Amino acid sequence: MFAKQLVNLLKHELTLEMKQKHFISSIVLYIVSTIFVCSLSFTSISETSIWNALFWIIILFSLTNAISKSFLNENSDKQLFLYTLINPRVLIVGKILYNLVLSILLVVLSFVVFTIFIQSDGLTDMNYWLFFLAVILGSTSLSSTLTMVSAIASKTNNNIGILSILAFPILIPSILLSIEFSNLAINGGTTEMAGQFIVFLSLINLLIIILSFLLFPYLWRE
Amino acid sequence: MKTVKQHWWKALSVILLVYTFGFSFLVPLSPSIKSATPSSLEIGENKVILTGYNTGFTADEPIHIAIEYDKQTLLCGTAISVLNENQIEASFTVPDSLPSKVLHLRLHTTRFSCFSPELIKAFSIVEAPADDAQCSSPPLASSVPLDIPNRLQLNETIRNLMFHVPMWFTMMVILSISFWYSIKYLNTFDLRYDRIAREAVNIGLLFAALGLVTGSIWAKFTWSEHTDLFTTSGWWVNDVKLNGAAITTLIYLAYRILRNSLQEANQKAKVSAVYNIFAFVLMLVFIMILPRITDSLHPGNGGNPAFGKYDLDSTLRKVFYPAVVGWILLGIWMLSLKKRISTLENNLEDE
Amino acid sequence: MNKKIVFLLLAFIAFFYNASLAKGNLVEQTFHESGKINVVVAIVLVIFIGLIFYLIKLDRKISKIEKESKK
Repeated sequence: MFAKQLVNLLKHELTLEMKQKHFISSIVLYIVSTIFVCSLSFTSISETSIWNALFWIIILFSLTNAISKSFLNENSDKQLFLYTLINPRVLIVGKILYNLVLSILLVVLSFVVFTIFIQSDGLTDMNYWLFFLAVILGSTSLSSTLTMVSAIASKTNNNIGILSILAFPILIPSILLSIEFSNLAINGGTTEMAGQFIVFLSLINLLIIILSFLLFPYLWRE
Repeated sequence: MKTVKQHWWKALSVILLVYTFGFSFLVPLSPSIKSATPSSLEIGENKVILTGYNTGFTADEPIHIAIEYDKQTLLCGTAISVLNENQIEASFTVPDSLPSKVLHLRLHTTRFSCFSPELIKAFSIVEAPADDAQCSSPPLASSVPLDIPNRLQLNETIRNLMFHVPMWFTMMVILSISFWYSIKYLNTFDLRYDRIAREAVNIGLLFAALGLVTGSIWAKFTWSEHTDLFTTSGWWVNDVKLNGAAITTLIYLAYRILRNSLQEANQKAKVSAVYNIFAFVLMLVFIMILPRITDSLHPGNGGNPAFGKYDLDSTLRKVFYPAVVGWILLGIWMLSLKKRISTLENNLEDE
Repeated sequence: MNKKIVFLLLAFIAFFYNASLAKGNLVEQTFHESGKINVVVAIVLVIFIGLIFYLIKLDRKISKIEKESKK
């Protein structure tokens, strides 16, 4: 039952997304133009840690922008009708999964654009697989936290402002861990060296998903 | 009898805090050596003036001073004369065999003994120490006096342990109370619990602000000069614990903004309770995980000794734990006042 | 009204702090002399001011309730 509802929900989200292509293209444009502005002001960053931090900050802002809209459509009557039919737990898991896929796509895109526009000399030692793992784990915790907090923020009038105020302080631990982790990957670290980062980030992700799963029904019930 | 039963913990809080204040202001700091001039020794006779802190030397008491070149060998000071209560002069006859390294200095009297870290630097370089330079170490002071340990970086500011640190303990306890009542609210949807959670956040924020300001002042005047790990002179030190505290403050300020941006009372309670639980758990995770992966100025982290090491005879512990309990009870007292007032306010609105 | 007073007070403190900095770092000196005991004094003062601040807030709330209950 749960799985079936989940699949239906994801299908529904996808068709909705395809109908509103302007939304996804606006986010892509946002990312590209942010990186372009950064590249005009930096051109080349010799310090890899600064390169890395800038990359994560751009990811943080673009994901906030992308996910802030995930509970915005819920005010229309048709949506409301749909959501009364399904279990709120299915809804939050579906939203988190959907946003996770979306954010991984966006992050990969921004990585490609970022490396094209902003060069750094120190990137030759980079362990790409480890960096990719850091990006996946980091963006999982970013997107799941942002999804849950955007559900909270959707209850207020000033959605996006409230979202960043509420989410940024709780995001700091995962952002810092991801930055340290990907720094290690950039400096050519091995998987054994990154052990604690992998464990901590996965634990945080698991915790966020469990918490959202437990708390979301309270938000949804009117 | 009923009043005693209801209010004993308030009295306990007051007693513990009076004890804390009394202890932290009246008990003197243990004697220590502050500086020695000249700071380097030459072959032959050297006159060295030692400046101590709280040492209270008197002319007629026996004083032993020795320079330690390794665990076994000591170079004793002779012709010790007391200049004033905090200064003594001694002469050291250096044989042609002092190693070129930073040396430690030992000071013993019948009342106390102290050991200075890294004060005298010697310049002559010869391998083996001559036999006549050796002297035996006198016995340590027999009775351990009641005093607060003195350390090079901290000095008198070690007393802040009783004021700055309990602010954080109190904040954490008060915020846990808020967390607990948010859970209770979500289980019962009783607005009384929501009011307690809200007031607890307000009190917690007050203690967070106090902790931040006191920590900032303390850090500025102790760590700004000595540490090799971090060199700063500003009011803000980039330290894990400080950042954790700042993040906690930000989270609960956001909580208040969230409450203010919602109108309807039940929805306000529900949404903010969800955020409170979500944020509190993640904050705990942050506080537990992050110090493990980065360095900190705080005791026990990043090469700094823990307070347990500062405090071998655990004098500080005798007052630190009562201080923590006292401040926490005071925080709970403040919370109960706020809670009662908000209940009254609510009753008035209902009428 | 109250915010203005707080602002003025802060401005005064900042002014005197800067003025004392110009005169050979007087504030820093006071904090470093005699085993930095003044740091402890400053911290105890900060906590005291915080508690007074709490009392003032409580006082205001109680007066508000008194006013309303008289109606």
